[in-house]
Amino acid sequence: MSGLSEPRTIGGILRRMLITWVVLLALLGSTVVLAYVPLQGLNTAISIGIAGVKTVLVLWFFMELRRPDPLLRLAGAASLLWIGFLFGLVFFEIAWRVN
Amino acid sequence: MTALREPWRSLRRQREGVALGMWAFLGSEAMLFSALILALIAGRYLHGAAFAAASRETDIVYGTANTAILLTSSLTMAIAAEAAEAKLRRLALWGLAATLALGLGFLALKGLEWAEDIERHLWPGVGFALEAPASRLFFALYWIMTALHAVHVLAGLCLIAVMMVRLARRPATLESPALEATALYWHLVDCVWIFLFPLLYLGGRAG
Repeated sequence: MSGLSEPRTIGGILRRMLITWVVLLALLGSTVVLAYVPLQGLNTAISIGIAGVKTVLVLWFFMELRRPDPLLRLAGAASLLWIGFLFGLVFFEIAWRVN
Repeated sequence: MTALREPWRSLRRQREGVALGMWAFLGSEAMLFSALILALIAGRYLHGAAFAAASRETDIVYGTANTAILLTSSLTMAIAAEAAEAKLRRLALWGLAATLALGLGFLALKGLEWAEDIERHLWPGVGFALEAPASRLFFALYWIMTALHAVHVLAGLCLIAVMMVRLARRPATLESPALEATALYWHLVDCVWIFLFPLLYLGGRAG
């Protein structure tokens, strides 16, 4: 399906997947610890940022988005675009709301 | 008997069609949860103190444990999908079984957490434990989002169970794109929880 070298042995599969999993759990640990550290209002932004990194890892390594399939990337990008519109419009409305 | 289905002429085209359809479906699911996540973010922006106080009432131990369980289940599911592609049937079955067990564990913990939440009067109805009006808004979103997510977990578990039975009966299932589609769906359920966890459980902990 792609030019990437796919691990065909049990060892190969486990090795690559386990590395991603360890990084994901390390990120989970760090997000919980950082939630208790006062960071002058940046706690939410940091925790959402870490969630974003975790999602990219899952998308890239577990959901195989790293495969250079333009059709799938187009489908993924279209969803992101519409979610971007949703977030952009709501934030715009809140920011310009007159109390 | 192969995994090829009507109207596809080749397994490769069938796989591409299933993958595209699945990604379009996952996009719609992502939009559904994004709207709710956005409501939570907007609520936190508009009612910061009340949302932080309400968030502190959630059980971070259950939340963290369940996040670790779901991340691990994504690992076992990815192993299953990769093993199926490499024609390693036993490893694929093992991965699906582990994912099923972890998913059930997630739901069991969630059930225990919900029971404790109700005991502590965190259902935003009569006798709600918190005073600030906006905290009701937070817990309304908490219940809606965790329940909707749990329904998705349950649907994923049903799909995994079906795939396990099919794989145990017919080795040709290894070639079926349905297994890959099931894996993609499960990972989406994990991705949604990755965002629900910080938004529902981590707010207001530092203050």
